[in-house]
Amino acid sequence: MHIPDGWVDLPTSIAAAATGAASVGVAGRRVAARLAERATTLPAVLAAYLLVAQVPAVPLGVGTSAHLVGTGLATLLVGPSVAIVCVAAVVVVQALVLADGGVTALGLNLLANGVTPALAAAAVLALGRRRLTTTRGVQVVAGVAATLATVAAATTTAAELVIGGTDVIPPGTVAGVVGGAHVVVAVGEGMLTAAIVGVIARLRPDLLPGARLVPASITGPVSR
Amino acid sequence: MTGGGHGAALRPGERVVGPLDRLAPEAKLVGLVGFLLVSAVTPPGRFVVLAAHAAVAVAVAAVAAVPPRALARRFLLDVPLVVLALTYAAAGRGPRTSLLGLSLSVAGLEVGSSMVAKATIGIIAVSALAATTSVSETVAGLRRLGLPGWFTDLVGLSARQAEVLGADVERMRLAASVRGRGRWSEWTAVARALGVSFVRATERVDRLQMATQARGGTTLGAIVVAGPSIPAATAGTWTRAALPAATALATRLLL
Repeated sequence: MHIPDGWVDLPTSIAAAATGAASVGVAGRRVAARLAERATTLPAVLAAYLLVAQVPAVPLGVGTSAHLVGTGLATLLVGPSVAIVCVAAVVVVQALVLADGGVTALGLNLLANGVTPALAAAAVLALGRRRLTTTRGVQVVAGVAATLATVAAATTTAAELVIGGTDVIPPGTVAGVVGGAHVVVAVGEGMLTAAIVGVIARLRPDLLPGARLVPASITGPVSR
Repeated sequence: MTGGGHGAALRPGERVVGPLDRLAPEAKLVGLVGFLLVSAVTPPGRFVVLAAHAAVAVAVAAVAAVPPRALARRFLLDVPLVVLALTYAAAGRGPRTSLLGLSLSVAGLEVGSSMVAKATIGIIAVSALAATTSVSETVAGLRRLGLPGWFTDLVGLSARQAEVLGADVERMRLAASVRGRGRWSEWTAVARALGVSFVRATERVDRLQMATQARGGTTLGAIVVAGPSIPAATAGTWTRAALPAATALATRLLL
């Protein structure tokens, strides 16, 4: 969910924008150092991938549909710094071109959809590092990382709505509604991410972290 | 991105150039943010002011010739926001009122409906910008406003690549729907399409890298070159771009 314009007060929005800009600055420097001449092209294509993946894909009923958020997947595949930079580009395009998410809420949405989920996913990956040796292991770790990244995103969004919101509604209710709605989303995100990782493992196992994976030609036939 | 009002704006021959299209993008961006800020800080419950802001946004969108279908689709995607706003009305503190047989908090209803109003105003206002500003103009505007070149390059390139990848995924989705239906198979088809799309995306990185090197460009700040056709802001431009924000501020102070 993207926070629209006018939902969170100005001081909170400005603080979030400052924190978000600083995070992207730090992440951008790390990306430039790590990717060298690919520092623009790789994050740009990955951001484009996230933009496409976030287009609602499977309708789940009135007004809701399943789609990938992708910060967890991006963190798994390219690390948290690149993921944060990518999500920054994604939220800017969504806010200014697609009218999805507030322009004055850019910092809030960057923190909630980029920074905290990427850090949460990175923590899961660090903890599950030893399991990244088999396709199944990568899928499990990726699924858990993506689920917890979505939980982190929902928690941050709820916190932003509470801190910069109104006092007419108890904070617990906001957290409950935003969090409850995202439980299904988080589980779906985990399952979808694990499935996507499975596809990538079959086609290009070298793109996955811990590329000590056995080549796809040995583990099984490639099916398309 | 599959579709969107800006898609039409990217094809030179088909673009209807109106007064908003000729404004410098940086002025439009600042004007938009100004307008949204005035709307955002309007206290909840001042519905006359919010209605005036909505009228300003609709007027600008009308001048911008925003396609109604694009607006309708964006509103549809915001149904979850309305549900969340309704929660404020249902679970708010203080005195309660009865509406359509439901017991709702007066203060919560006020806050919730103001939130929906502001979100709607935001969507209309941004749609006006998107309908009259191509992605490369928006990127040039951000660059002129002082955002770092590496980041504006990234935004511009992302938006362009999203159209390429989006068309790709759309083709795969069509092929999957021809092969078989059912909710479960649709899920796996989505996963497969996204997995294949990721692999193709990494291949696109290599192609882009080669193209960039062939142009002799370094990567930072050199990929998206602002075309000479993108107008620069003059004093008159800034004044015109500030009109919606100024009108909104006036209604806030007077009404």
